[in-house]
Amino acid sequence: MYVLHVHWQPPATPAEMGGVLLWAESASFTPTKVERRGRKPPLHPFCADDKTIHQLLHQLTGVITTGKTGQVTLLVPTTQWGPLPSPHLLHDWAVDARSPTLAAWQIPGLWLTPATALALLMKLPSAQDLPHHLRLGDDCRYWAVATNLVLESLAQQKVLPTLSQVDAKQVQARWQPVLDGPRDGPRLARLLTAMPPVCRAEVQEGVEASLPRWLLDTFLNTMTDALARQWSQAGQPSFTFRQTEPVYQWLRALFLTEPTIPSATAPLQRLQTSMRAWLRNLHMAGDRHFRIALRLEAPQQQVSAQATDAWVLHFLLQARDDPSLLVPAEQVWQSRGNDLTALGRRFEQPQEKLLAGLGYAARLFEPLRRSLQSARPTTLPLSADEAFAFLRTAASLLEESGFGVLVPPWWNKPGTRLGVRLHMQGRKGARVDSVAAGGLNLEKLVSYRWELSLGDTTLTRAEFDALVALKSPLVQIRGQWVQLDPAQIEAAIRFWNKHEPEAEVDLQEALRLGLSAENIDGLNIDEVQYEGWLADWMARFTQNEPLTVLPQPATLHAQLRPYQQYGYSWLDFLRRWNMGACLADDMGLGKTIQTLAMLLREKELQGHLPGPVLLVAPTSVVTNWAKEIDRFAPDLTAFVHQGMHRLRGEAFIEQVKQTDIVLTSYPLVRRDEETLNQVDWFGVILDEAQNIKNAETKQARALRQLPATFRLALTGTPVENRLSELWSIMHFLNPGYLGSRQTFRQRFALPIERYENAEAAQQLRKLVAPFILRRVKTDPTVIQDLPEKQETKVYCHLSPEQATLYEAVVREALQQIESTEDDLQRRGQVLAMLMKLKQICNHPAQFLHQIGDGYTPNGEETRSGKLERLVEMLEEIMAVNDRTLIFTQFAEMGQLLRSYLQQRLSVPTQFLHGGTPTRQRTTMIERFQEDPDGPPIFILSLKAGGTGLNLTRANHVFHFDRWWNPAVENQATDRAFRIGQQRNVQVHKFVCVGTLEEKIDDMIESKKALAESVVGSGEHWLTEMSTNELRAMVALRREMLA
Amino acid sequence: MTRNYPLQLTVYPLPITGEFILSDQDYEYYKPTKPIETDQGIKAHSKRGEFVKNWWAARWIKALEQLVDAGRLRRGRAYARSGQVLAIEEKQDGLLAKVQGSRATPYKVTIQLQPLSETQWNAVTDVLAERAIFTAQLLAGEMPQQIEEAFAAAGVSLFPATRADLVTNCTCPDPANPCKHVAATHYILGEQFDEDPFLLFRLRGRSQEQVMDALRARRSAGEAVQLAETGATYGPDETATPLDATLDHFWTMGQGMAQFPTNIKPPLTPRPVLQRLGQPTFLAENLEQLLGPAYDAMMNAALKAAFSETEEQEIGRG
Repeated sequence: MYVLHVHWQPPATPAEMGGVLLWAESASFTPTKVERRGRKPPLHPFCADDKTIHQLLHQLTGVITTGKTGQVTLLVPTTQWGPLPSPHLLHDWAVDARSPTLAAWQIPGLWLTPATALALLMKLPSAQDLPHHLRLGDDCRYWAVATNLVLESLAQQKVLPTLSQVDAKQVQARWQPVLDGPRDGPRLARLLTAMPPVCRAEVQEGVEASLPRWLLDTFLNTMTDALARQWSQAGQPSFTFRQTEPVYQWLRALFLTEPTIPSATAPLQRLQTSMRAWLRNLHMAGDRHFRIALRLEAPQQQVSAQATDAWVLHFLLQARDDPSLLVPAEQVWQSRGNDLTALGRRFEQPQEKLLAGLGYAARLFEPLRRSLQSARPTTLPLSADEAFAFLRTAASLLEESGFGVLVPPWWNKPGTRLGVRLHMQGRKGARVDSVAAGGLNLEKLVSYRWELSLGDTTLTRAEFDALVALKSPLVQIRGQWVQLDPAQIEAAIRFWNKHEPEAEVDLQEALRLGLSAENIDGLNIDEVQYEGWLADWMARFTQNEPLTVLPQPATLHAQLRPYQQYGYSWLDFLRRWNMGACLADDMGLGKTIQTLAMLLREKELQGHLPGPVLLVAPTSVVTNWAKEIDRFAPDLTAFVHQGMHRLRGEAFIEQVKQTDIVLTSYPLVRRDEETLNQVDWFGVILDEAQNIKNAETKQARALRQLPATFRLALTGTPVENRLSELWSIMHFLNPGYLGSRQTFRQRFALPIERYENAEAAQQLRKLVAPFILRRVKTDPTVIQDLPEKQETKVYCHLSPEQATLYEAVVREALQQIESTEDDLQRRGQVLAMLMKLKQICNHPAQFLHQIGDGYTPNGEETRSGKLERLVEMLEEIMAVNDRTLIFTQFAEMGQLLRSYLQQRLSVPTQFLHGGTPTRQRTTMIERFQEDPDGPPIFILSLKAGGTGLNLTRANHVFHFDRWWNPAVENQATDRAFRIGQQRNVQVHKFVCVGTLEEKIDDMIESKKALAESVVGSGEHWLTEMSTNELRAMVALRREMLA
Repeated sequence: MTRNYPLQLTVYPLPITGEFILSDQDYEYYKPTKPIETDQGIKAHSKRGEFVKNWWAARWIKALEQLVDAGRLRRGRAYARSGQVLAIEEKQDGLLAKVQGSRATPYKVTIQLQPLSETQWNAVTDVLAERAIFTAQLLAGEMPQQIEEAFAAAGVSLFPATRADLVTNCTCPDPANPCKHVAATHYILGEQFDEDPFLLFRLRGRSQEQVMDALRARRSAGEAVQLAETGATYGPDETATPLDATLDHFWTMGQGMAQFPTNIKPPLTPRPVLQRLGQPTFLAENLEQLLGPAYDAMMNAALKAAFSETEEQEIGRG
């Protein structure tokens, strides 16, 4: 496990460029204690070597670096044992973190060129897409954000060619970012205060700890310069060889790798003076304390286009720290002396600054010159055309130049420009609640009509022409100002020539138009109106209005909770309208039962399902599904399509015809693609649909191609926040709705994930919300329906390795037991066999005693069905930031779980067992209960942790193996379920199907009362059984396995 | 071809006789020597043709051209362009320049303008105060178009109008004054007005502060009252927490980075920074046209880096 760090080394002298060093902490070996000798700082004991870093980098970004190996000296919090690991590093060695001090360490790493650094920082995957063995240090994330800023400057062309004197002899041509826009100050301030201290930790000569501003400035400048140099090559101007004067040498050097200008100093100094004068123009809007502001006021009512003075621009001073403090120019002119004190602020030389500002602003907005013809200008009257030019172009330039610009509030509001309004109407004859199953052709179900709109008004063509005839870019309609500029008029005319005013589309297309399109051929879509039954339908579909809640199916062997009844009605609604639905309720809220209820209702209404349903789930839960169907919906026939001897070809198709639900696993969908494709499925349901998050895999493609009337995805992860997953699932459910993966990445995923674009996030939410139903345990409407403690059995399969070992042990042990006469000896043998079988059910590594010192878990979950299922469930639990307890009877198993889960899930994990010293116990409990960054997974041995402790931060309890004594298990469960617990607690009891675990569990369930007395004392009652009874109990039922 | 110059002999410290009405022949008589080459001098931005672009600088040079013969002008221009003017320094009563000629020691050139009297300045200030554009443009680094009118209205001239206005001197052996060294300095000065229009005012005897104070006094139409020093300073302090006080959050990013939007898209108006800066005076070509393609290339590359991607790697479990 590695934590990747990015270190920015600022240039030691202005002539240098600084550099980016990539380094990594490694948890893959226990560091040895380092003795400090002499003055040279020792090598950091747990850093990855350059080869490893190369590999990590390549794996992460596909970038093959040619980076040079190097090192820096960093001050790192250190105790007597050595440097402390960063909090992201999950390590197995013990650390005494008490009273650390800073000490210098040599940190080895790779020097990256700015372009490679950019490629790396740009390609870092989002947190949930990181491979398990990798975490990013905050420094890494920090510089990635700063890099976004560099990209923004370059994309928005806010960079400046400069000439800077780097030392007495050298002058360099550099590109610099210009980050002085209205939003930039606050953003830079945030970056400065949020810089992780480690960024400042480099030991450089004469520098204690670099100032954040110095680091950030040099980083932004260096990156911008390097990228601008590289990227501008394609547009490099050409000069003749005769152009040798300083100014041309400067221009040339902007495009060369070497920024230093080979020219004598004096002429360059002169150029520099000239350039300084030129650059003054960037700072004409005021000083540090106030700036010049321009406020545009609209006339009360529409005036003729010829009027030249109806609009008025007012001049003001605006305080920088409080933009609401405005001093009108009148007051400025009345002031005497150098300063003006107004509103509790002192303004220095306000008159000169105002005049200088206006003088400069006149370059960007020519009409200002007029007002400067008077002695004390305070306002500037404008014509409508000028006012429009001000609003449209000058305002943004002025704002970027640092001026305050106050425009009328309606200007930036939607609906003050030409737009279109869309009317949609559902086809006559259809109704919201009565779509006959399959009887309705859902194509061309919606007809639509376009209208031109301006503000709140709908425009007829004649009205539009009349407004155009006013020849004013700003017009007032019913007391409201709206803009009507030539570009929009043209767009409107083009729109009418191109689009049929009326047409028919299918429901999905209508939805997409209605929910996502904001702009069509340059015109805003101001409003989408749904009419007739479609209005009703949309209200329900977007869940603005509650759905009609259906009665619970009579054949369901369970009582639906209210939110489940709603969920099942919702599933039914979307299914009837051919909309792929994603039910994303939290784990434990009953996605299974809602799905089964939907199918049962259909079967009750029709007498049979229109066709078989294919349910695809991870291998580890297929059995669980079979059990649940049996229990809750015995009226649905199901069969498991899995294992070596599964049906193929005709046999399969025949069997399917008589079945309601076919259960299979993800890997088999791809393997049996051809067979599965031959069935006309009524529906395809994906459980744990996050399995198809990688849409390009053959498996995902095979799933998408299965012919089906309805599609349903079930997942417990917050799918709406995991965009690659969201797209894949939506693409399965409603192909084409979110566009291609490429366009989705560009329009939504990258803007939202990397650049935190709130608008895009909002738009996407609107678009997908109707297709996703997600309730969380803490929803007030849900929580009141939930029991405080919810117990479920988790049925797991055995891996082939487990099955083989299991059978071998049973065979051998029974033989031995049969031939043993001595009762005491026999009892011992029985108990030993039981122990071995339990170990095998847990994990082969436990049975084979592969866990011990130096054990490194690797790919362990394929060896154990329980572990595989546990990991899947924990992934969901971690995704919603819940905490969990895991009980096992075996110290070895606890150790395996701790190392493996920590590595596999990249979260800190702790294990409390009989050998844990008291002080460490206390720390563990405190960290789990109190520390917000504490380990979310707490493994406890049943003996050491089963009583006494208070662990109410957990709301999930796993019993990985079983004591077969409900009282003992309940006592353990009560560590979490006790006073102080605010949420409901989910208890997951693991049982291996087809093994003695299942048999015993069944027995306990069927005679609970008996079990209390018989089983109460543990496993001894088993030793009383005859060998045949014993055989029946322990024999592996292969048919139950995958 | 002979030109007559309205020489006012008294102004010039050098003995000037009637012979000094120069002709091209006379010019030939004074054998020009080749100057010592230098790369330490101030090279004129202008390389060919018209020396300056702004009207005010043109006015300045025109004043010189009325005083100097074509040959000296040409050589002076060449000197200016090749960087023979080593330095120009502002002195109390004018400008002192060093010009590298053919001798090892550079020549010393002085240029002075006849200062305006107190009364003349008052008259000028009155006119300037009437229209804000004068102050506004001067402060924004531009010479107002109508500034000459303003001075004319006050009955004086900003630019040297008569021989008496321009007082020059040079330590070179050329008996002509202005000589080519003066001319070279004069040309360089013409370009410096581009960057500092107040230079002319100073040469006429008023600093920027004096002019602005006088203008302000007129605007407020009353006596200037000095306000008491009050006031707070704003802006972030340049201090940072000592590193050893950060151990509890040494590796972590501070608050406030949760939502950090960046807006990677093309600008609303192309090349906003160059637009804000305007055309620089030190370049003959249009800078925005010259660098436009480079800016666009950067923009496209940045957009591509931000949004297009090579096929994502399959990371983690296959």
